Parts: sequence; C-alpha cells; structure tokens
Amino acid sequence: MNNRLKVLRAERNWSQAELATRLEVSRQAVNAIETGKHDPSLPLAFRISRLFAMPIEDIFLDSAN
Amino acid sequence: MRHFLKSMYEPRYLDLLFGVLAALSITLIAISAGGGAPAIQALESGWVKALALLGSAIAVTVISTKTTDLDQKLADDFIFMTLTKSALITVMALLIWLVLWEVLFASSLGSIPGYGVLTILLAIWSTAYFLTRWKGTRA
Repeated sequence: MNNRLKVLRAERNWSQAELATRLEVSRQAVNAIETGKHDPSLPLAFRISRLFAMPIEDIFLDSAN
Repeated sequence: MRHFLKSMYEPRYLDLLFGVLAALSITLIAISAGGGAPAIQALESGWVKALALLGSAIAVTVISTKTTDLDQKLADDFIFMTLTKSALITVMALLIWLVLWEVLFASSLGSIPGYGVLTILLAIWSTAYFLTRWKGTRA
C-alpha cells in the first residue's frame, strides 16, 4: 500500500517528529509508514485521516488498483 | 504514569534492550558451550509432574496474554508489529533449529539443555527484532 503521508506532512512544514507527536506514535513509526516499510493499523489510519481532515482513501492508495 | 509507561516503549529503549539481550545470549552460549550444568533430580514424577507442567504452562500463558494486551496498549503501531513479527519469526526459527540440531548435530556435539535453548531463543529474537526494524513490518 502506497501513501501520501510525506507529501501531506511537507505541505504543512511538519517534521517527522512533529507529526509523530501529533499522532502519539514514535518518529520511527512515521518514518516506517512514509518509506513504505509499515502499513498502519486501522485505528492509526483513522487518526491520520482526522489529523489531515481527509478521507483514508485519499491518503492511502491501494496498490491493487 | 501512562506517559511514563508509554515512554518505555520508545524504539531507542527497545533497541538497547535487544542489544543487551543479544550480547547476553552470545556470552551465555560461549560459556555453556564448554559443558552443561548437571541435571537436577526430580522429587516427584508421573502425573504430579504432568499436572505441574500443564498448570504452570497454562498459568504463564494467561499472564502473558494479559501483559501482551498491555504491550499493545502502550507501544505504538510500528513497535508492537515489530515485536510480534519478530516473536513469530523466533518461534518458527527455534522449532526448526531444535529439530535440525537434534537430527544433525546432537549425536556429535551433544543435546542442548533447557537453559541453552533459552539463550538460543534470546539470540534468535534479538536478531529477528533488528532485522524487522531494518526491513520493516511489511511482507
């Protein structure tokens, strides 16, 4: 699954650490999601969706499609 | 209190923990390779031993289930997945390693005592943890 997390973060001039604090996860977790090494759980995906005020499917792209 | 507990699950602390476990397991393997400790003779045998084994195994499993729930609440998504994936790798690797050792090496190098298996488990889990941290949790 690909995602637009890095782009969305950059648009807001947030560092990985800042985004991690807002999401209440570690900076390593944000880095792993951005680099495609980790797919977030559904609860975390919803938190990301709420933070960016965007639907989940606009942030996470199903690679099967 | 919750904030303090959550901070204990930060990746840098877990990296340190697994680094220490790796070093400890290597040291113990090196020490125990020279010779095993003498076996302790059991006072009880038969059904008493079977009940004790089964009861203690079930009790530890129930306690571990509860503590794992706590891990899941306190660790973040990525760290919990890293811990669980590396634990699964460890279980599979340990089972395969035990069978291979008994089949291929036990006759010439000797069987591994219980504490020896524990040190191998620590070595495998540390390795699996760092590999998963590096590679990521995705398949």
